[in-house]
Amino acid sequence: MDTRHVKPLTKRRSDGALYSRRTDVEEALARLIEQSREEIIAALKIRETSSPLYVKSECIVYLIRDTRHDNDESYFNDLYRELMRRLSSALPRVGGERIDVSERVHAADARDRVRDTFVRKLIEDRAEPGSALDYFEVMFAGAIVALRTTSMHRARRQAARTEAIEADQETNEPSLAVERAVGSLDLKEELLSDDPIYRSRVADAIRSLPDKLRRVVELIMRDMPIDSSDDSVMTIRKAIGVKSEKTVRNRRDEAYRLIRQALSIGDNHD
Amino acid sequence: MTDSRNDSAEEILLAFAVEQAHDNATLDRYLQLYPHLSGELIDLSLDLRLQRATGEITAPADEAWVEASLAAFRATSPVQASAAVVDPFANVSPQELVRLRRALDVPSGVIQGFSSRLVDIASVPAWFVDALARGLRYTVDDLRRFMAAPPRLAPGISYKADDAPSAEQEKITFEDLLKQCKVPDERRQQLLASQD
Repeated sequence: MDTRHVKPLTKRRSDGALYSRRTDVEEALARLIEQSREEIIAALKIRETSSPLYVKSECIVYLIRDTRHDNDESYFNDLYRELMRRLSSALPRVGGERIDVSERVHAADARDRVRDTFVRKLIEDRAEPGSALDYFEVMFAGAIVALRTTSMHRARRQAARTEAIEADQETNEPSLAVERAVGSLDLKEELLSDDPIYRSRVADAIRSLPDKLRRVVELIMRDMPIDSSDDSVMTIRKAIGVKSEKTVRNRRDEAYRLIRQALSIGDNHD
Repeated sequence: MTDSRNDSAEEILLAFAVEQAHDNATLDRYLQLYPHLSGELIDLSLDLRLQRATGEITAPADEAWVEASLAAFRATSPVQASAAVVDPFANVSPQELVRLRRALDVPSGVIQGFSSRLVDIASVPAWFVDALARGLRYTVDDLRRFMAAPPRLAPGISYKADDAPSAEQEKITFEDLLKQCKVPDERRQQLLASQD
């Protein structure tokens, strides 16, 4: 009897091991491939991620790749549309009243670039099956974010040629008041707030920081040491490639000052 | 900056993004292995963190963008574009056609005007194209792409003539089709209106 089976991934890690899907994705796929297309299309309309019938984004990638030799354009279009919705929702939002117009335009450009990269991979996969889309069956939202990071860097490298190089604040002394303000704002905690609107504001404030300040914020949140006499220890100073630990502290202080400002949190040191 | 540098950076970032854990040990390992990508890796680490923090905050889907993305895919996918035209009437049973005709309140000749591609789709009000496509369970795009080709012999119709039947050469307007099918004036005006 002809039994259908879920095709395994073919992408290999740098150590040679094959990538695999999460167990929940494998189980969902095993059920989906036994369903009719009408049932799948109906399930695509389910928006509640907690529903047992909700089709995971990783599964949609599998299903759309599986239409390679298919003439059912309507089915493909429904899968494609839903995949675009998922792609869009994995990225920082494009609309919204709180962000200014230039940021919206920036987010919209990034979304288009991510889509174009993803679509190029999809077209290549349909013409000649490969493993480039396997990442999206392992962790769709994460892989989409990775495409965004890559495309933002490409865009910045192109823009950098026309931008003046900013002087760094190597010699500025951090103010004691700012040092205290840094200590009182735990961004990891703020991002765990019960209030989703507030979390979103914190995320926006961090995203809108200049690159060099934003990176220090991420490493501070990871509790990475600012510097170390032990060469084998990864430090913020080494990771961001600066000579002095004072530069790291200055960037950290400036970042937190800007975040507090964006969140309208007073410094209490007037 | 070359394409291969971009490609390999993208591969490394994708691999980092799908790691099971994004703890300090994982980031350290990537930073040690790929020091030239430290900026990208730290940015990605933060982007993943912010996505986790705001992931469940969903905005209504931007349907106009979704449709534009589908059109962009069709435009950049030559293989798909050539293989993409499907016949929305191919698998419709006679009973379904009768149901559709009744639902749209038109004679069967009007439906044949579409299945034979006789009618110029550009002359048909958008709401009617939409209703017909939905009735056939295809998209408007599917139907429009199918209708763009020249007229053909309507499938499933028997001819009794000495000469082999041939398809019309010229398309006709929706209004002419309705007249040919003797749709009463009042109903014809309704069908030709931009909205029902």
